[in-house]
Amino acid sequence: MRLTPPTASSACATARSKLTDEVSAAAFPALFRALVLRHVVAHRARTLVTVASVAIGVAVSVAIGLANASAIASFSGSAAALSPGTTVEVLPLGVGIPEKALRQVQELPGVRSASPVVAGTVSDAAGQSAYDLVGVDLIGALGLASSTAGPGVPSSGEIDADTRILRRGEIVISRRVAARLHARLGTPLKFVAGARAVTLTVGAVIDDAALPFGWRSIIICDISTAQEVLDRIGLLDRMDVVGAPQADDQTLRRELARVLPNVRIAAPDERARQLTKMTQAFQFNLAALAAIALLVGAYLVFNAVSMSVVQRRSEIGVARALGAARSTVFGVFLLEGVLVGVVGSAFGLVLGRLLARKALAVVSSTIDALYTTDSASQIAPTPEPYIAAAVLGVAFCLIASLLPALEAASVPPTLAMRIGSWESSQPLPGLLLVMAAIAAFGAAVLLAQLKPLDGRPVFGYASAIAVIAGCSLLAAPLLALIAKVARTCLPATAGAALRLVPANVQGRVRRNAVAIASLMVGIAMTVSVATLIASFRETVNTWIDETLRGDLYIAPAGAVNAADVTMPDDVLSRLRALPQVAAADALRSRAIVLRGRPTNLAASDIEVTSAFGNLPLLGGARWSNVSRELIDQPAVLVSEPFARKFAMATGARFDLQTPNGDVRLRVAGVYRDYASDLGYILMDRTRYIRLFGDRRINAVALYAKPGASISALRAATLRVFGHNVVRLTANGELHEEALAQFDRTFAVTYALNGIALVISLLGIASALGAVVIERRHEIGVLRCLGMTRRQVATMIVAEAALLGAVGAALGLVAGYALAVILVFVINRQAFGWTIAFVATPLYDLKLYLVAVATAALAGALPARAAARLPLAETVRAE
Amino acid sequence: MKRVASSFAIFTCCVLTSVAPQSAGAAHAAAAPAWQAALPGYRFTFPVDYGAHERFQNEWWYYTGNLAAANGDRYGFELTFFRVGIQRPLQRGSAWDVNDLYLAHLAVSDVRGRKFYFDERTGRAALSQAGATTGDEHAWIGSWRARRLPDGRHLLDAAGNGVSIHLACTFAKPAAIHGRDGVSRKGRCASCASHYYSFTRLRTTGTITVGGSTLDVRGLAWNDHEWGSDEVESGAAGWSWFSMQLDNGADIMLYLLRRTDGRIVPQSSGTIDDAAGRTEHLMLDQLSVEPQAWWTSPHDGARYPAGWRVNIAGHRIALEVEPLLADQELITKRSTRIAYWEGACAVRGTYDGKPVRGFGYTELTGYAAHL
Repeated sequence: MRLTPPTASSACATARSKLTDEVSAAAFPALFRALVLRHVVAHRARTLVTVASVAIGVAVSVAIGLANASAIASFSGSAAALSPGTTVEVLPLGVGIPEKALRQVQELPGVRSASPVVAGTVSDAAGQSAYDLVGVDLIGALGLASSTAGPGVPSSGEIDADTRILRRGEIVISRRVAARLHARLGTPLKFVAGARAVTLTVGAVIDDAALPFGWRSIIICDISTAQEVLDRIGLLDRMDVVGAPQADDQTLRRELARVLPNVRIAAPDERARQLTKMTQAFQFNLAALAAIALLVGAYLVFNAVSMSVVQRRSEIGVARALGAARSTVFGVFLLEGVLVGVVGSAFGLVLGRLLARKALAVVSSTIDALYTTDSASQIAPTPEPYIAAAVLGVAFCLIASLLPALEAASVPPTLAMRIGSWESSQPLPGLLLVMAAIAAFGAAVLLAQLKPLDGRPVFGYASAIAVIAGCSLLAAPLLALIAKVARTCLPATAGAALRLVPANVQGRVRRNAVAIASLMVGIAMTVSVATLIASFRETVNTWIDETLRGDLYIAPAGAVNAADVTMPDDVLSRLRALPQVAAADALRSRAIVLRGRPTNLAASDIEVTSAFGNLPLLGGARWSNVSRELIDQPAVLVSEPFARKFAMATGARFDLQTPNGDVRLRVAGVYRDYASDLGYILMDRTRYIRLFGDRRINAVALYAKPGASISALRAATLRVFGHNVVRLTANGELHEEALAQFDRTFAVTYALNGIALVISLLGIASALGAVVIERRHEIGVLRCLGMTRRQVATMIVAEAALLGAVGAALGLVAGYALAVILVFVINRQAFGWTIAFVATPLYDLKLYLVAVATAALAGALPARAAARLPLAETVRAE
Repeated sequence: MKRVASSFAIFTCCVLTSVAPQSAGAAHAAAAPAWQAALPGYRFTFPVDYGAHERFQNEWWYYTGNLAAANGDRYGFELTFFRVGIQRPLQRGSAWDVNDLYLAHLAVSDVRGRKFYFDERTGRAALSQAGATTGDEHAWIGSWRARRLPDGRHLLDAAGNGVSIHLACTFAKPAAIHGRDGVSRKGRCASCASHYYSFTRLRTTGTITVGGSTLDVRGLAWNDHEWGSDEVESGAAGWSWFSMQLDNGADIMLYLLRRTDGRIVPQSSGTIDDAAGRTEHLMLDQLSVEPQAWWTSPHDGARYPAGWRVNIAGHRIALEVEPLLADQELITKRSTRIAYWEGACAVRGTYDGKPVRGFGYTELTGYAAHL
């Protein structure tokens, strides 16, 4: 692609172009029709593939963008709407806020109102899905809502003049939840809460529209019912405080802190902000992958516009000779790219909206599993994702057609008259390209060293793009080199058809380079993401093998995802007394905020954990030393992502807020963990109970005595709990479940990867097809010189296969480079995992063969058509 | 008498059936007899009777008054606390379990500004969210409260919907007990009665906030306190209640219960409390109340009488009662969930043949929707 205009007649051309500016401006539509539209119509199939690839790229971006925006909207929706006008939320540090404190808070001069909230999770009897149960003071709130005039809690009037909500054990649900539970007014519903079966009756069903956004997917009941169901007698999980008009935020916080010294006072949107923050790395990565799908599409546009410039070199020459200005020609081809972008984006927006629901389902299930109980189920009506994807789609196409358009503008009128000179005769600036590629790789290495921006691995992705750019730049010189080598090395016995191949490839090195670059991008992305997932999966698999040593795991029914579902610990002694049980480890884990950032606090019976479990400690620490320190000293273990995010190593100290004041803890060690990218602080359960007064547990790990029957253990455990209130998972099942969870988490990634591969294969097919079509004339000449149809076909297929082989090989190399960036830079910056690099040679080989086969096939179809062309017509120009 | 009692009937019904465990009907039937009825022979004991009577199902403390600012602008106010008892077996567990429900209404009439403000509160007698003490008067929901101090002053505080009142009231006459033999009859049945007394003349000072400005006000207030169980005769459609404070020192209370067929329940009655604090019970046949004008509510289309001619022939009393503001309708969507008219009125006419003037409050129920 030559950027410098040819010197011959350029001065003359400049002068002329000035004179004819107006003429050519008027001629623009005619020129566009002649040079672009006619061509586009003539090559319908290729145009279609190009537009489709842009459409798919835009659609994926829109779908992912909408899914992300909807998830975020649901976070803020659910947090904001619970109590309108809330100035601050008062949250417990331990197990709950004593309800007696409510009145004290309400009587503070700076407080206009304080509403009690008891909230927790219940699951349906099957333990399949979890629901947030929120108990509020439905009686007191009625008056409150009238004076604040906000949407408020559902008032009696809105509940269809029916105060049944006050009945003990009755719940209020939206139509949406009613439909999900197959419930009507008066239906008794069986739930499991904290490993206890409870029956709640539907006391009111409310139109979704009559409820604030956040109330639509939860179960509402009176606070008395919630306290009984959730085992929170005497405790509140939250107070929503509305400040008096005259009290500023600082005064209010000071007053609250005086009355309640050991609570956390948070802004009402804190939870939404934290959820947004927690999920931002995950969401950013999805958006980045979607943008890469669009990038592959952009390569195809580049390819298509380049092709249309090449094929119409003579027409351009004629147009220029007839007085069309350089700028007009430039504009015409730029417009072609933009048009493809606009049309492709338009289709992409529609397709994206259709895909969004599916994308949201997948994104939400991942977010639910990892971060919260009930994220979005509705597409948020925000225009941003559409605008962003459309702008990106058109911009990529504009940029992609910039170079070909410049090249078109540089076609000299004289040159254009020569037929057959499609490929520029300028020698390939090979050295320059190689140096540019080296510069790109250097930039990639440098970018990979930079820290993430606000938790987003922006520079990691920039590094990945630099690698792709570098490999793209290498495409042409590499192809030239391979052709040269092939020419010299090809045995004389290979036959005329095959021996022509290297020369043909070399003769059209730039055109071919574009085709293989687009294939390279697709293959690289596929390979790298597959490698990342495989590496991650294998790492997690090994880790699970190492750490999951319990024989039977017990969790309350409904503990299916990130919900904090707990059970009382009074079962422990009975479990430990079972004859099959060697030891039982009680596990507690809950979300906390440390230094303003969300993380997790976990507790286990360290004596049991160290003797029977096997959490892998990093840095050569030994359990025998660590466990004593954890039991005797105020010390904790932290997980690797925690250590990375909070920049703490073994020996570091930090203050943890507890209901008994701040406690200084020492990091006794760091352990490898893949359970949460938010990190874990792990302490001995005895210490945890002493600090937080919280005896609830989330799960029990049972270790069987040697030789004990697991099925007997299972049966004995069920007798302790009763049926259907706990979920028992044997070691192997848990292992499988964890991996299944892993696969669900990466479902979106798999899908995006597949889409990128399809686009790139479409691309190679369309590019190679075009190469053959443009060579009809040459093929005619070869046939006149005595080549058989069969030989022609062989030659073209071999060429296509060679291009496919080179492109895919380059893709594999680039893919491994990208995989290294993904595993060691992007993943580490976004999530903080340590992942062992695992190559997937078999997958890569298959991918390689598929790419070469697709390329050969892409050559075969037009080759047959070319071989059948009537000779006279193709060589008429000679 | 007072008031909004039927609205209780409705609300209580809802709440009772709703809070009653599982088999609502049976529980309701079982719970009902446990409430104590207001029966003749009751001896009032103060200050204990100022406080709550937890063995009765319904109880309310009503304050109304006509006040004036320094510049002569007139304001009416109403502050009411209702207690609705709910009987059911208390379970182990949540302190939030509903036993007594409390409702409160606040209204302020800005006569010159021709504006009427009202607000309402609901609460439960749990964790001090709402309540009423026994032994002496102190009823509250959140920051709304009516409290009687040992020195005899009543303190009223409430704020909402752009208005607030902070008033101190001192009695000019002792409590007047209505009815006969300690009961005020509301119908034929034996239980159709309540225990009912009033402070008919409370000298009131304090501040009132309306439209963003806080004004010093003074004037006369009236306090009703009434309790009973199941007191309103079935078939009652509504009632009209009048309080009048005259410049000759006399105060008059009248209530007329209407049946659905439009006839007045014969047990309707009244009380005259003369300047010296002597009370006289008035039977229905001793008085007449004739509506003189009508007003149609723009809010719900209800047609209310708006102006009355009151005659008590035996005392040569002929009074005209006229609303100071046409629209003093409370549409209580959230607490009692009925619409009623309760407003400040001007009174003029003759008492014992001599001209008198004064102010009063009138309550009209059952006009907006059939009770």
